[in-house]
Amino acid sequence: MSIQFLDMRVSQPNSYSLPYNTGPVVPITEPGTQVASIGVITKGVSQANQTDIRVVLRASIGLSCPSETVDYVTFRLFRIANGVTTLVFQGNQIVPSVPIIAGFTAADFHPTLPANGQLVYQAFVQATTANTVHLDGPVSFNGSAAAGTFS
Amino acid sequence: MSIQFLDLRTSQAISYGLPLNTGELVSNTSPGTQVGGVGLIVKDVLAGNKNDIRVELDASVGMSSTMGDIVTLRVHRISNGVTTVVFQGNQVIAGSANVITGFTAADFQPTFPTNGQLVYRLFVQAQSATDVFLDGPISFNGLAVAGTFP
Repeated sequence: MSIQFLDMRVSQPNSYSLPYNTGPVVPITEPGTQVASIGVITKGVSQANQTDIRVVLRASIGLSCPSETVDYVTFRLFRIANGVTTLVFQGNQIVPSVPIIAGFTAADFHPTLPANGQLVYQAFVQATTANTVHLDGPVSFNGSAAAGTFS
Repeated sequence: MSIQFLDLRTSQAISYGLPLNTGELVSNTSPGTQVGGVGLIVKDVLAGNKNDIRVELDASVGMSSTMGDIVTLRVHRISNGVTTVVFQGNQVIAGSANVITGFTAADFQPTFPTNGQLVYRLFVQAQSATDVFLDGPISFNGLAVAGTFP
């Protein structure tokens, strides 16, 4: 089968950064606070490509810590498909006492075809120290899905 | 309507990073120095998908500073004669170190451009007028898609 573009979805709950340290506080309870979510539609996949879906996920998250403070956050991406939640990406990032836009690119390779035609992805951020990390924004979370190859 | 891939455009103004602190100075006047621009062609969009265009924009910008500064990154959409800020964020640039900062941004359901093109421009603005250097690389890329399954 040939290569198919399936879908691209965007989620940008926060387009503009707030002033330093004025965003909501990031919690320390696992898995943290959900910052964005997308549902990538895979209904257009041809039968032969159903087991060859691949997804690229990109995120940007504006964070800061108060003056003289440093903390670490954990980013997590979950896939929700066929009633099952799976962790597909997890990483730690330092947050200094100045604004940063942290981000990553992540992939989900060959997820099982979702029976309802939708792969849902949710992005979470969790802090290490309570009442320290501020989600000043912006927050953007985008994903694209493709399938198949040339034979 | 079904999902349509519309266009992907790239703008890589600088492919190779220069030595530390040797790039062009970044402006401290709003909106800053323009470092990238793409024009996404959405002419192919089906009539039923015209109100369901979505755009992903990805950027990497190599910068440096001697003392350290905070830059503001902005993406503007220019469409139908109107300029709109679609993304804005602040990023620290540490002193005496190269950094490649970047982001992903989105523009959800922009008004359909009558000329069939959504133009996006990337700007960087420093706080200091003389201490943030655009050492590169700079890459600014966008992707436009429309529609969904009924």
